[in-house]
Amino acid sequence: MNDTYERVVRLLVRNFGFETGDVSPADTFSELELDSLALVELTLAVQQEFGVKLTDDDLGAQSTLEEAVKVIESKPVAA
Amino acid sequence: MSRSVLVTGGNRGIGLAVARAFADAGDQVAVTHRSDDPGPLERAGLLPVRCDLTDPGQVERAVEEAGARHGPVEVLVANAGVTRDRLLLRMTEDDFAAVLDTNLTGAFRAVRAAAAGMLRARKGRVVLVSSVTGLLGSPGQANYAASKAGLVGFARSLARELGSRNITFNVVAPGIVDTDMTRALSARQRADLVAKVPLGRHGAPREVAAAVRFLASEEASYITGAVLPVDGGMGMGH
Repeated sequence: MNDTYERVVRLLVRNFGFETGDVSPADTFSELELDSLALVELTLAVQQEFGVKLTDDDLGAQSTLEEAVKVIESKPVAA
Repeated sequence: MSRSVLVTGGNRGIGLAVARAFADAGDQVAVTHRSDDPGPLERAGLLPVRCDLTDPGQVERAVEEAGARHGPVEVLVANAGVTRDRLLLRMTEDDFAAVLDTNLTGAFRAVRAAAAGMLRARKGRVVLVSSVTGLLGSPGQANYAASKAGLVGFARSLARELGSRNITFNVVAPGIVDTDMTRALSARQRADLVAKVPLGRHGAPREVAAAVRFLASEEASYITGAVLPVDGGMGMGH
């Protein structure tokens, strides 16, 4: 996977106590046991890390990390 | 340890006493106000932030301004409140909605704006200033009492929602406190109210501020979802 994926994994490691080897691109957030509050936190962290604006629905429980990376990369970076 | 504190409605009464208590303890305190002259607040070492709590954009900007000056808000005291006392049959829909909009929805706006920073920090203290009236009821104050009771359900829901992130939500319920709001009552009304207070007197704003400061302190780290009466015993049993 690419740089965006690596940065998302770093956020998961830093904020939710994962080890880098714990996660793979095909994992859904639900499989990673991130609950709805954790997804809100991840959304905040992604917005800060990437300077993008996410909607409430962009990172869903059933999204895989690979899909989340595509959503993040599709967003324009805020000025 | 100096924390970033934001007090809504901090230009007078209980809010000002709360703001001063935090500032005296070494915290950096921003206060929202609607008045024209921020001079007295600045002289008291507080950061005045002009903000109408009924305007979501202004509330977000106030939290941002406090954050820019003092760092992300770690302690939020939602204190701003208004009254429009009327007997029910004279109370218009606007009288009811306007009081709810400031007292309850205004608290929601402030908490929502500050919560993102608290989530990022994985810690935070929120204290909501309710009233003995919220649980006791008061004729002519159906709107005010409803808004103040609403704060309890609001706080307790958030205590459950965000407790795992080390953010506490507590409510202080003052009784008859000597402020502009109670000075608007007639001498007879005040005397009747004080007669219902076991301690036999009204409270001082600093006595409420002490409770707020405690609930926001490190010592209160295991207290969340509590309603702490500061009412001289007036509301006992509710």
